[in-house]
Amino acid sequence: MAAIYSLYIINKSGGLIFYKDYGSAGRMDTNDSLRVASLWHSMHAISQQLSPVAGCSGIELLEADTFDLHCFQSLTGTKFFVVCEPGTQHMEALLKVIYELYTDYVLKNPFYEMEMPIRCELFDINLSLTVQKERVALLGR
Amino acid sequence: MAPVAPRSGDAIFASVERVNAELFTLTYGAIVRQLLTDLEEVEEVNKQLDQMGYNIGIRLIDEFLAKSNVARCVDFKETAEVIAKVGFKMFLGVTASVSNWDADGTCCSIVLEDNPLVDFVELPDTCQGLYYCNVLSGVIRGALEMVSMKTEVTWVRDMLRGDDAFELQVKLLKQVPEEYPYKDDE
Amino acid sequence: MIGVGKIKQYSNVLDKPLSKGKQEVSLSAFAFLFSELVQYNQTQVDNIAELERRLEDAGYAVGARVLELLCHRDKGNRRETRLLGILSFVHSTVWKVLFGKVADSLEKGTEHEDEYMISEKELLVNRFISIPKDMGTFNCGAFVAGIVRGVLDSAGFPAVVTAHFVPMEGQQRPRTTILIKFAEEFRLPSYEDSVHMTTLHRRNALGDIFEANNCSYQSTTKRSKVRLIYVPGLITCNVYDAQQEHDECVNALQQHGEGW
Repeated sequence: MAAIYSLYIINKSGGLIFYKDYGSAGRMDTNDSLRVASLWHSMHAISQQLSPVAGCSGIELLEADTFDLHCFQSLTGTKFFVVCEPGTQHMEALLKVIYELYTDYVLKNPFYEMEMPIRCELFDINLSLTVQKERVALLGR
Repeated sequence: MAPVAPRSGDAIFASVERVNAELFTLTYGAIVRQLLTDLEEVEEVNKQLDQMGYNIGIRLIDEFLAKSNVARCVDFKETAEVIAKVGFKMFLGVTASVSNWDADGTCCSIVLEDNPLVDFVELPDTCQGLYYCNVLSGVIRGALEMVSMKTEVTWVRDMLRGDDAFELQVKLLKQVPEEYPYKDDE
Repeated sequence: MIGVGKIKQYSNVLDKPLSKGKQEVSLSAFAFLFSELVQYNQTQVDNIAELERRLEDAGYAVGARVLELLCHRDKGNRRETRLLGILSFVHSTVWKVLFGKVADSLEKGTEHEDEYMISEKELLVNRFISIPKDMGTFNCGAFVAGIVRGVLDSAGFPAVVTAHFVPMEGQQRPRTTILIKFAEEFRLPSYEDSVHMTTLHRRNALGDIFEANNCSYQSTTKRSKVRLIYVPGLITCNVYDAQQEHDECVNALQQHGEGW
């Protein structure tokens, strides 16, 4: 059974604004997650610099022996990435759904301040449902 | 990621959840009325409406990108077309057209074919200087700033002020290059 | 391309035919606008009670206009004059027009007379809004409470209207209840009431009621508007759109003039 380990959202200046762990063994504390987010932000930018042709949008998939990392960056510079079991399918679609949840339950919330950490109950609730559904869809295949 | 085909404004508008335009119109009217009471000066109200539009624009752009699947526009001409044909349609259900391009393609007009903000509205004598729809110019400015385009958006024609159309002028001031995220303070 | 817009220009907004109310905008457009309304008002207040009051005020302005619009368009210029009638009008007609559905429930309060509740599992304005923990019981439904108060007040049923989160058993999210408390002693007579009353009372009796409320009263009849204005010692009846219904209004005036 394929599993999603964790989800990160990074603002356009590289600050971690959301981190959710879905029961991975390597759960990080706040400092670690902030550091990882900041490093990923930089690595993502480096990858754009490495591109031999202009207009590269950065790393989209990183594969390791124990996990895959799928990253989606919006044109506004916000990055969403999931860490999941190697070979997990539909992660691009999942990231897109998460982006839409972000535009609904974060950006339309008058009490959310731009670029700041996300603390929106409705975002959490709907995110859990989405990630679950995703799991269910995978189980049903 | 495999590119997903951009969707037309009509297709998006047909697929999203919608509300009665009157709720929107009357709520906007309530906002304008609050501002007139709070700020008193019409000029200040114009500024505040623009600011509120800007605040909306910097948030709304992500929804626009998420739902429309448009890719980065190749130039400002394409950007203006996308705002008029997709943006106005998917949010307000109205179409707009682009015209009056200047020679170097950095300034154009967006003419609205309909404007749900102004139903029931007539400017009283005390508010003749009011740009009632100034929120719209702010939205465009805010949204474009989030995708690295500094613009100036002004009303050229306003039917509430007796003109024959609603026309916005959008002028590209500067295309901000994407910044390399390293900063020395880290 | 200049001037090819399909919006027809009218020299006066009153010449423009009233829209059928079928036009739509995206829920997102409304949600972003509403969010900005809340954010702006947050900058204007020092505490949550004030924020609630300001959202309610904004809603009131919407409610007053919705009543006028719907009475004109959907009810042939007739307006509910009974308490239960106006409540059910809010719960069904107003809700349907503004929020696309009839409200989930309309109940009478069990503890107090003159208390009613309109409840909604998920209020449209709250769809995307999470209230931060430090804001306690604050509910952006205050805006909707204001709409309800605006409708009721303009129809001649002044009330105190508030919005509350009510936890529901087995539900993750609380529902919102709009609590309506009618203040009987402040109830303003409707136009029909007042006409009726003039036949029963002398000028002072009616004058006192109007004076107590410091008000004028406007009523929309079939094709015209009648406005009763109380100026100390005198009640006047102004007629708008007088031509069509001139006779009726003259009658009304004469009726009021009788015995004063």
